[in-house]
Amino acid sequence: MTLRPHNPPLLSVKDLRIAFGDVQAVHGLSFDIHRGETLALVGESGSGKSATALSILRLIEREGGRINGGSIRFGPSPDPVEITTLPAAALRALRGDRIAMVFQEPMTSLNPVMRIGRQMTETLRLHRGLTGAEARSAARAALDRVMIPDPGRRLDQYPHELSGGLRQRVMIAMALACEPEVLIADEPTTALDVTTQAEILTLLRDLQRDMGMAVLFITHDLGVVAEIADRVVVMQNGRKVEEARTDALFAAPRHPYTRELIAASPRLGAGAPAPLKDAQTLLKVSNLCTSFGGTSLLSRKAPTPVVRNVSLTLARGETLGLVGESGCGKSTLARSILRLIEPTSGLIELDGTPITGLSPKALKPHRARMQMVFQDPYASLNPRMSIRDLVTEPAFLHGVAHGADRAALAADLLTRVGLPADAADRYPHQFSGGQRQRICIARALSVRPAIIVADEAVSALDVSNAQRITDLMADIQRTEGLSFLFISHDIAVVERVSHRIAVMYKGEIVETGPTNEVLRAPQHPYTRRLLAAVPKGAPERLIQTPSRPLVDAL
Amino acid sequence: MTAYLLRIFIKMAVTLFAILTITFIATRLSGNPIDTFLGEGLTAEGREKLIAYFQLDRSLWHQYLAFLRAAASGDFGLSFVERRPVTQVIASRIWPSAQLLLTSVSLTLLVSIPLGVLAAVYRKSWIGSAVMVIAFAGYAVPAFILAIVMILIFSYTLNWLPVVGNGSFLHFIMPTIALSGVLVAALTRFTRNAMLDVLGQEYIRTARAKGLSEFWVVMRHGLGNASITVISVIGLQIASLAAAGSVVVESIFSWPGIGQLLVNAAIVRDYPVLQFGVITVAVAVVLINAVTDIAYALADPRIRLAKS
Repeated sequence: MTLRPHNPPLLSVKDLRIAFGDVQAVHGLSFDIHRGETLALVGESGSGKSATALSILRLIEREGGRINGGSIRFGPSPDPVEITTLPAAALRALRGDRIAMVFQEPMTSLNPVMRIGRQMTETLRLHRGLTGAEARSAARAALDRVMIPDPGRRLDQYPHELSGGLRQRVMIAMALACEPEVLIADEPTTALDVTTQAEILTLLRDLQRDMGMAVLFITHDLGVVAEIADRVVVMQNGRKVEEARTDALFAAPRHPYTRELIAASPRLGAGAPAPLKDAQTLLKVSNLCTSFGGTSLLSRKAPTPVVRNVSLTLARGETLGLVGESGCGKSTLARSILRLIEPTSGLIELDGTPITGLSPKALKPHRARMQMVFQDPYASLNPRMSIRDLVTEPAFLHGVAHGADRAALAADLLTRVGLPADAADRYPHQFSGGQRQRICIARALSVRPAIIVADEAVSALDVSNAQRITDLMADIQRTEGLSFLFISHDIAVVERVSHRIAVMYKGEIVETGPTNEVLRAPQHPYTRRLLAAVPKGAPERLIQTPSRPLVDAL
Repeated sequence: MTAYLLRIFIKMAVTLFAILTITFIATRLSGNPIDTFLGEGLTAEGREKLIAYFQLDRSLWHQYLAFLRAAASGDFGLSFVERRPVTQVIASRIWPSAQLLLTSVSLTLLVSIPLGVLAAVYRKSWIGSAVMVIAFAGYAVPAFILAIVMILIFSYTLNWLPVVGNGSFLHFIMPTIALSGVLVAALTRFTRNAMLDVLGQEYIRTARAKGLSEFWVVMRHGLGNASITVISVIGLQIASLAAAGSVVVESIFSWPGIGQLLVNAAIVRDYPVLQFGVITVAVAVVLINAVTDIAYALADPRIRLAKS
């Protein structure tokens, strides 16, 4: 089923097998990439797509894996090199020069103690023999190519001085410094906001057109695939289940798994729950402000306002979606409402009772009524506690359940979140990410809260797991009348679950209203920008538009 | 960086003040120092005189202020034994101790950092295991055993190295090794762990993807980052070495430093020397920590360039 255009492939992977220890991660994967083409490798976590990406430069060997079968041929057909058996020195000569890589996390993929300039000239010195001023001007040109403002100054900066989007541009500039023939991009936009993601995707597409390189684009996000790829390989459990041109894949997915994946991908404009009528207000936040810093004796700077004058309401049985980019203050707002962070000023009323200004002791009964579910289901469960103790701990702390009750309560909670009751005796590491997030929800439910604050609660999950979790939340809401404050940077997910939506930008709520209305007719320019940046999940945006200038300045 | 330095200096000043206060409280808590240190053979009349001389009959608060006042003017009293200001007694001992500390720290760094890097890079082969076995063995051997065994072999049996004093380069060899032994073990282990942590980071993968050889990946990208964590621990280790290790090692080798002086002062109950000696060691520890903090900032641009 491999599609074969007329020209010979630049990179040809045949029957690739990759193992980690005794576990076979990739079972005989084959695909070709041609010059000037973008091939997307799509799949959920654990599908083997990143292992495949790392195998092409044989970096997998340093990550605890090994290639135990198949071939990876690179280069023009008369004289291709076989990467799987290439000697170390020849392999190093390929890396960063003819085949380059960009990784997911721009925060951690750059060396934090080395200046940008030095990290860039390192590659140029190695593969091009450039030194001193020559290397520096080449590095500057590379930064110019990715349209980083003020490239000369960037060379002397350290990674922590740049924003996530700029860092990813630096990563790309570094990868493209030697004008590689193949660029492997492993989830390069996953850690970025939608607006930044849109910029990076446009940039990659333009650079590819200018430089004629082949791009292998690894992602779990079908929306991104539609934006950037010519062809798609869908992977599941280490096997290729489907390969097709992008438009054909979206128009007529053949494999059931592809169909499932497309169905589970949140798509903007798919419709939101209708706003509730005459619902009773449960939570009322008025003019809430929260600032950081400025309290230390030695710091000279003024406190930084993070949440500015926010007012919002949440009704019984309602879900309010809070969207905005990372750093806009969403999480701080949520924590301020729960008084996990002390707000600087403003009023929070829970069911008519003001809870701002209550002493910790007086606050405690109110705490039980608002519970939180966090983003990272791996980090937010104590690995040494059994599930029974984990899910009933809040109930125990609030004096709701004691001793033998805990077992019965745990069984009940686990059933409600769709886990078997005998899960109570197990430990967090025995569960997948999606199951762990269910455990976190069960824990939040244990004290019979009125409100659950879900802070990016599905952002770390695969699309299908994310959908199962949001479905679960909707079920719980229906049967138990709970309210949710649903925080996410992903508008499409927010749309799926929220009756109303609040858009946050630089610490302020710039727009709020019924989800359908806000998304259909956004009033604030930021909301419009945010919506425009969301991948549409279908290939209609493949029409090549010229790069837009950086919007970082806005 | 200016604010960072300012913070370090303020921290130092506060710590110094705390040291003086704690020293004062500790000496007063342990009972009447006259009885403790000069108990036997003292006439009732002589005792009265001494108590009046040291103002021990006044209120604690008064004594404390007098102590601070004297300390501020550099007066920490006279040595009972040598009959001259303790500051002079200690001053003559500082340089030998500092010399021994410097050679020990240099030796430690030269040995343990390369060993730690080796152990991390070859953690799965016999090289890594061998390094770790040596490091654990080093942990298990206290400085005084190492010192005595070395004396038995190199001085008593082979007659290669001198035991007593600090006259020549040869005099430095055994005390330096004895003093660095435990520290080498600790720092090797620590460097290895820091390197293992760093080598698992994503920027290391980026460096490999650039085509850098493994040597440069480890030395430039690995060690450059691991050094931050190593530095943060090194300060504490050196401080404990300066405080505790030198007392033992200097006594064994009759090294004319502060450690030996403190032991002798304790034996003859030269209470002013002991008090000021403790203060001196504490000040040294504070200084070492301040230097560590500065080195830490120099190694990590995130600290150095943090705007405060």
